[in-house]
Amino acid sequence: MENIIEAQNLAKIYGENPLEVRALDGVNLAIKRGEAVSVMGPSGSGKTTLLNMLGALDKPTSGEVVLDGVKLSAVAERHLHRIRREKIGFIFQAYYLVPTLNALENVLVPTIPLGTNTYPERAQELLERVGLKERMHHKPSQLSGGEQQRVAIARALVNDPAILLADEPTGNLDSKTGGEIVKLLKGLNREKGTTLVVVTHEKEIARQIGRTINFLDGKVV
Amino acid sequence: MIGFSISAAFRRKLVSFLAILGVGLGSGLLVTLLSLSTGIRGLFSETFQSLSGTITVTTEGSGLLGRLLGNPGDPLPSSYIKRVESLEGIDLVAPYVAASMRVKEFGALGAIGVGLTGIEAGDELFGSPRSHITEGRDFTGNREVILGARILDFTTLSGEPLEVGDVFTVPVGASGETIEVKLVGIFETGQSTNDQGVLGSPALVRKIGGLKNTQVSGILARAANPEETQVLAEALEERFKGSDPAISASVPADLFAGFSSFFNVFNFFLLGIALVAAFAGGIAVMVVMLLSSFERRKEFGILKAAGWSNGNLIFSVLLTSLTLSILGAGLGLLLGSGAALAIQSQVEQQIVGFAPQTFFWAGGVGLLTGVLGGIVPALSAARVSPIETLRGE
Repeated sequence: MENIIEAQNLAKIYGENPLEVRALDGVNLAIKRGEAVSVMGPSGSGKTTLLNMLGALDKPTSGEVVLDGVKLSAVAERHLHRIRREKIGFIFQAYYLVPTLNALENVLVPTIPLGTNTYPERAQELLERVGLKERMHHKPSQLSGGEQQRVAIARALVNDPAILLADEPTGNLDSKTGGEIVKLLKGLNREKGTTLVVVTHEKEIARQIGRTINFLDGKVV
Repeated sequence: MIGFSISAAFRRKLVSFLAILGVGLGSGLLVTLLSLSTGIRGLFSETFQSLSGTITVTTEGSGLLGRLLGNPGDPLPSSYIKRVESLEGIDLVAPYVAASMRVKEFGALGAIGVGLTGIEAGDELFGSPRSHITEGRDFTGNREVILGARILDFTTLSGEPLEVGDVFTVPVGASGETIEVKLVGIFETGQSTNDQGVLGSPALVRKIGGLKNTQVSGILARAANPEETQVLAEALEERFKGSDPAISASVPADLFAGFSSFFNVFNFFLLGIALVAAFAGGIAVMVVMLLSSFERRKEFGILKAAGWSNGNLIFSVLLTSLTLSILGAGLGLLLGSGAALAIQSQVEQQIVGFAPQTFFWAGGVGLLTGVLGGIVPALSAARVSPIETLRGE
């Protein structure tokens, strides 16, 4: 199967000599379409930085990211939003829901600029799929942490992306709820063939996801 | 996108309300002032229509406006009356004397001077004011006057209404001498220009204005055929060519042109005031939008991470800003119209008029404040870096 994500000699350096910090230091990796991968490592090892590069949220100091055959360095800054909208779904540790919108509206946020009427139905199906059928008109403040993360997962999937990037998706949840979220993500990967990259520092979660890429000091080890 | 952006305008209801109120007060002021200006212009237009067929003969550079504003200009010799009357096509003449009445009881008008007129003959060309007494009685003798209803309106609006029975101390010319004059009645002819003044005996006016018995301030002349008014005015000027003093024969159209240019300048002045107020409204919207953009930085980062483009964010924030300002303009229309109607309710004459351009200006101010107030916050939203705002958590 072809590679959907490739990182070629990726480096990210913050600051300048002698105070420079190498968050990523010559990272090479490849992830196949439909694969589920966890990125493991201690705090500050560069996991989140890598995920931001793969998600076209941040630019590397050097090296290249290739997403679904597209070199990100060749895409103009003003067009990067299309890559994020069409190919990637993001899930964050802190959920990042819009507090004034209800669950259904939060799921629909990525589709608002598209202005079509087909998405509300899809958003309802996704909320049903993540077990929030009865809670779709609740605001984030009326939902538990696990429920908010489910809304964030539905939001990440609403545009039917090929790649799902999750940054510590269980970091703010208790182990039982965290386990349910991991099961949900794995299920989506299995059923829909969505490529899944999960950053975590918990071995058990990494084991459940599948192949593990270990990180230390900005390098794959 | 539209629903999302509009609803974003009401996330902080009190702040949004204050922004809407800010724009509303600015555009409301604009609506009130423009409505008054339109109404007053219409009023004068109507009055000049009623004067159709009348020629005003005065020394050059004065005319009807001079009489009303208490500045009648140099006098004409009484001998001119016959020369006007004898022109074929003129069927009635009304010589008059006029002086300026500067009395403190007239408030702001008193500082400028109110026109005091004494009609020698042909008072129907002035709308027969002495036959249209609405309160009190007609004047008798040389120490009594009657007042036009519009002057009464003005003093009522200023909070110090005049009353029949009031006695004024009036300066006599430049001599420093004063005389006491009693207000004995109010008249209303229905012709605004005539109802703007004060009427007394010609002898009283001559005393106050320092005019001799052989002088008049002006002569109104009526054309037997109103369609010949302009031709007769030209014939009169021709007849008096080379006479000293020279005369000017004005027809209502000339007078209205003078008023029109005055109103154009006045309108620019009003627009200036109103635009300053609208600018203040725009600042209110900008402050609210900047505050909101600052609070929503994380949300903008999320939206960008979810695939929103810079253009999407700019459009959304501008639409939010436009929502506030257009609602403000709508509120302004209501407040401004309400204020104009409230003023109208205090005055019998139709001094308020709603023209389409008034609504155009109010809407324009709404759009302008929305775009100007929203552009900086919109650009600031577009500059948000998703990675930096999300990392800030």
